[in-house]
Amino acid sequence: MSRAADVHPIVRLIKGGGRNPEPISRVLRPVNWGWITVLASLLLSMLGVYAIDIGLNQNLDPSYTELSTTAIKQLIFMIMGIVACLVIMLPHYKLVSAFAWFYFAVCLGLLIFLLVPGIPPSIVTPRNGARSWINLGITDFQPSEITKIAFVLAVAQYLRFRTQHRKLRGLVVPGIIAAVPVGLITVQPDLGTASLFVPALFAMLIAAGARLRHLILIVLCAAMSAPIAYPFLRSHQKDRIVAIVKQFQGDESTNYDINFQSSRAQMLIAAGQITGTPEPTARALVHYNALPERENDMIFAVVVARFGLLGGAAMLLLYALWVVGALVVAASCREPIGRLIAVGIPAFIATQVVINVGMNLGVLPIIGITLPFLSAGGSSLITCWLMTGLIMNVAFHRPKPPYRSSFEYADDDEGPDLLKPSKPFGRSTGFSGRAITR
Amino acid sequence: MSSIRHLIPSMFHRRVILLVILCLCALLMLTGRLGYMTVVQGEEARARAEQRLVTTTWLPTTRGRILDRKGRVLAGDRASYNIALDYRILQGQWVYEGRDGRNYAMPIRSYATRLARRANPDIWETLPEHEQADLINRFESALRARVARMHRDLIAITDIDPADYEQRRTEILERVGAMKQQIADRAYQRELEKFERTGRVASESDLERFRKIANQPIAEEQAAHTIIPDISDELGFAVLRMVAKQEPIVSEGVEPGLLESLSVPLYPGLSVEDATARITPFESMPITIDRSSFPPPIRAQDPVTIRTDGVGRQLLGRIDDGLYAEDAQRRKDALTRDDELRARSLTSRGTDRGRYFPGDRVGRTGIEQSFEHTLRGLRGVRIENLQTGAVEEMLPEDGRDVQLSIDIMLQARIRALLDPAVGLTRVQPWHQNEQSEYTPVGTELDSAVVVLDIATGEILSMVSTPAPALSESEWKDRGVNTEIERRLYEKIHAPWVNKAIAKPYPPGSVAKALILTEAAKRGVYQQGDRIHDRGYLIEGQPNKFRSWIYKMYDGAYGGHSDQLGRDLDGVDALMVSSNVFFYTLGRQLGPERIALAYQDFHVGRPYELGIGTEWPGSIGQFNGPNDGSDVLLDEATLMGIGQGPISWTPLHAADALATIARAGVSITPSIVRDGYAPDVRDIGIPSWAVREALQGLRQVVENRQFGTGRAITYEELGPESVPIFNAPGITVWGKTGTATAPPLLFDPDDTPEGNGPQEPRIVRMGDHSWYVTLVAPEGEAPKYAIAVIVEYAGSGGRVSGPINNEIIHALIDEGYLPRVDTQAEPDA
Repeated sequence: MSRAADVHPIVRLIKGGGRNPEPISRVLRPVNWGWITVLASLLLSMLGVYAIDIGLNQNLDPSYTELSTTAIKQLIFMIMGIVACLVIMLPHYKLVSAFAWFYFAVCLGLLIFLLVPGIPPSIVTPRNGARSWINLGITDFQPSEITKIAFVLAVAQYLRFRTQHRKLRGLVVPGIIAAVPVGLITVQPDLGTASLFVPALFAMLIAAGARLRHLILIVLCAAMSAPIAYPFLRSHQKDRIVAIVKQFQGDESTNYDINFQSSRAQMLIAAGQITGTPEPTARALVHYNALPERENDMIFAVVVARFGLLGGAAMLLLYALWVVGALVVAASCREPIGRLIAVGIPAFIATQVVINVGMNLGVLPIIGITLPFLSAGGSSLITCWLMTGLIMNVAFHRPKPPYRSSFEYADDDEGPDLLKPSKPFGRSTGFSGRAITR
Repeated sequence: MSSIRHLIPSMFHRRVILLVILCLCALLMLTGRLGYMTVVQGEEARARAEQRLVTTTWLPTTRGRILDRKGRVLAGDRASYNIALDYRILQGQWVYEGRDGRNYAMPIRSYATRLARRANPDIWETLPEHEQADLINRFESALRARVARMHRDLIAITDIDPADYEQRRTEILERVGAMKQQIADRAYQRELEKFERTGRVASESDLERFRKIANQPIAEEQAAHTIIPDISDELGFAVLRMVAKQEPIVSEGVEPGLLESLSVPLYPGLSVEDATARITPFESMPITIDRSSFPPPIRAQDPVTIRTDGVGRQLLGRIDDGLYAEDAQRRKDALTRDDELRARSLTSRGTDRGRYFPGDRVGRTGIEQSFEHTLRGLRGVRIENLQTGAVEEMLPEDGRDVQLSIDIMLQARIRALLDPAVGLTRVQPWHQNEQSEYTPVGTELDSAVVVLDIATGEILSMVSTPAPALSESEWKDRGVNTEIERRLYEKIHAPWVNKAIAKPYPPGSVAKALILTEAAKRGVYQQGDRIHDRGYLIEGQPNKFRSWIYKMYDGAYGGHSDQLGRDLDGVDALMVSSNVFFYTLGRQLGPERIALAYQDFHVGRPYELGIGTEWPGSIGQFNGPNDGSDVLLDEATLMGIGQGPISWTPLHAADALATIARAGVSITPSIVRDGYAPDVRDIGIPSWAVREALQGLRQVVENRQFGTGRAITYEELGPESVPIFNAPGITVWGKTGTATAPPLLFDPDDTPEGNGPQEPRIVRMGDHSWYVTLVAPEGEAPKYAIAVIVEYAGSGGRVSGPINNEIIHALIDEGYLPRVDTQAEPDA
């Protein structure tokens, strides 16, 4: 690598700053676990385009081979997503995350903008009563999607050098960081997206060494206060909870009103049986059973109706690969911000998949949440690819020395001996609840 | 814990592994649930999901007709439909079908807004208000145009006067409106009173609330109302097909993908209702009776016209539209039994086109019940697979007709003759009925008649009186007003029982003809045998087993041998109806062989005509083995003259004489022409015995001096007797029977709730009166067998004889016997 090339701005971008004396070949790690997430993203996106077409293209004439408009749009968004992925994976993540607070502030600004009364509907178009989209002319933009990434970067930025979060009081600030976007998104209202932030925060806190007993305590308190919150829910939200209870009791009375969406999805999922149905049959089944939100929240039902248990399980396996791949990237990273990015992002994806598939399977109430990579929608798909790009970014770049091998506490969990200092081990030199620089 | 710590020294890595495990656990649980749903619930869910890929439209069918032997329709469907409109459409709202299949309504403007939104899903919210309003206006006018077109189409299709149509529309609106007003007013008052009872004064907002409560829609406001009644089959179908059609409300400027969601019915809120009626044209008709051949005391030159009701009621049975689980089960059984029926009925998807839908009619009694699955039509069905577009269509198949061997006009004539108003079935002085205490002169008598075609075994007519009463007014016409009167009437007259086939009667002397032939068949009586009738059977026991002449004159004239001056052969014995002769044969046959004798004549076996309950006849105890094993010798002796433990029905009687007329060939009588060959069997009577029996039967009617069924003396006409049969050119063979019947008891306070202190009292007593004949044009073999029984009426010849004679005249009137234009024989 020549010196002239070394100062090339792109190279500096990749290296994460000009003072890195290492040659670029030592900075990059082309063979890495991140590729698994790229492969899974690609397969899932293609499955999404196909499933959208199954759901929406009702032309039953087999000689008609054109994709439906929405599927074509999704295909375009997928290409845009891949480009976005490539763009975001190049600059060193330390560089990317340096502006984390700025991104976060911009996103919060956009979320507030959505709620400002008096903005003409030509700019903020309510859908199903939710003010979640900004009309960009060619397509709609959903700020809450991109906020997820900004949130991960901000929390990572906050936690990277801190140890306060190992105390109960220290959880307050991360809690506030999460509460702001959650509050703004809940007001839209978009309960589905809002519900993803807390699990992601928890995952990052766990990875950053917060004490599990604190986190469990918080979960228990939240669970116990849930009945108090119930009266404050909106009536349709209550109805959905009642409907799911009734459904488990075998009461089908709500199948034609509040539980219609869920019962139809469940029927189509079960109808997929083990190997699914031929393509025309799947199209007809989805269409004539009037599955609502079939290209969107309920796309999992379409996938299973087409490919059956095998297809559904394969799809879940792809998500597992994505998430585990990302976590392996986290594990192979030695630098705090990279680690937290590669934990926070898969936490978003995993939570979203579990909630979405759970509501398709009728074990969770319908709260309106998309299935990553599959559901139709530009903001959602591009955000997912950006997430893949960030994971690749962390996997791709070696940490810039000097770095600290972070979050290595000798007393990671509870127990009477935890107060005593334990021996430092491995290359981590932390002890007594303090992280130290190597 | 510590071992894990040693295995994975880095805390961060342990935590990452924890997250991996959490994530995999969640995904595994979801996969488990997915597996459960697809594997366990999969099959059922697939079937349910696929149900929506097909639409099934049922087309109505018609129940088969019941015809008489000449093809006259006794019962038939008059197909008819009503066109009905949802009240809310008439009111000017839009009606649409909800996901649950029920009709819902909203103002047309609101529905237009909904469609306009649907047509512009992405941009609707961004449109300025005036553009939204324009779009809504466009949809609204299209919806209004569609409703207007429906009304226009209905007027055009049914060719109804537009003014009439408009008037009906107004009538419905006014009627329902008035009803609604009345109900709302009452509800408002009720609410107000309820409120005021609490001692408060209602404010304006309270009143407003009451008005709101009172204004709840009533059922009539959400129901369909007939606007065009009684349209034909063809029109009904045409409209029905249109009801299923949907078309996009607007198509210009709409994305093709959205057209389907903008489809609305061509005829919103319209329904076609089945209003088919079962009609029985011959159930009630006026019959003119020529009384010139009647017994002299009631003979008249002017005919009388009688209105007969319930002509075929007991045969045809009734239908109703209340369904029971048993009906569905019987349908299933019929399909299992009958391969041909199953092949016709099932669709390719295995659905029975003849299965019962709510509101379907089911035969409950008579032919309507026993031929339910023949008469019941098969619905047409149109199954469209929405995925493949394949259409499977099966046209409706009308129910098959059932033809009876009955001649409905003959039936009506006979029923008219048996109407007490005519006089033949009322106690008359010449009947010499000894039971005047229970049945004084003028008492209405119940009767049963069977007319059988000897050559085919077909039943030409079968009448039982009185017919069942179907309505309160019919009960009133019969003078029955109270519960106890009704029970008494039912006890005496048993209107529900078809007496011709379902009520046990002792055969009486009618049985003598068949005992003669059976004794001959079984070697007890040989050709040329003669038996001495001294008036009683057993030497030294003149009070037992006596001849009627000995009993009537207390032995003054001895027995029939003394009367005739010779020992009796079979001809003599039948002619004078000698008891001693037939006691002798009965005793010699003994219990077993006399049982076989009666069995040869179908006693103990039902005919299975298919028109309801039958009495199979009994030999020995009721419901016993019917083989004589429970019969004593003395009882067998009594059975020789048709008394003792033996019972049959008028149909058995007619069949018995018909079998003798066929020289011992039995043809099982039938009433339905179902295409099956009748059961024919030679019972093996020697031909000489047949000749002797027929000769004897002829002598009964013919012999001026000794024939027991030839003539009647009427006090008012002096000692000269008048022949019973007076149809010129007709030969009659016959046998009277005066059958001892047990007294009929009625316990007024014996109700289903328990028996009171009152003792049962006798309401009827005495003998049933039989006269069974064979008739033919002069010089020919017997063609028809006629059995007549009148209950508790006394002498067979005096009561049933004249009725039998009038039935012969009825056969002549209906063309079954020739009319010979000679003067009737002068009274002898």
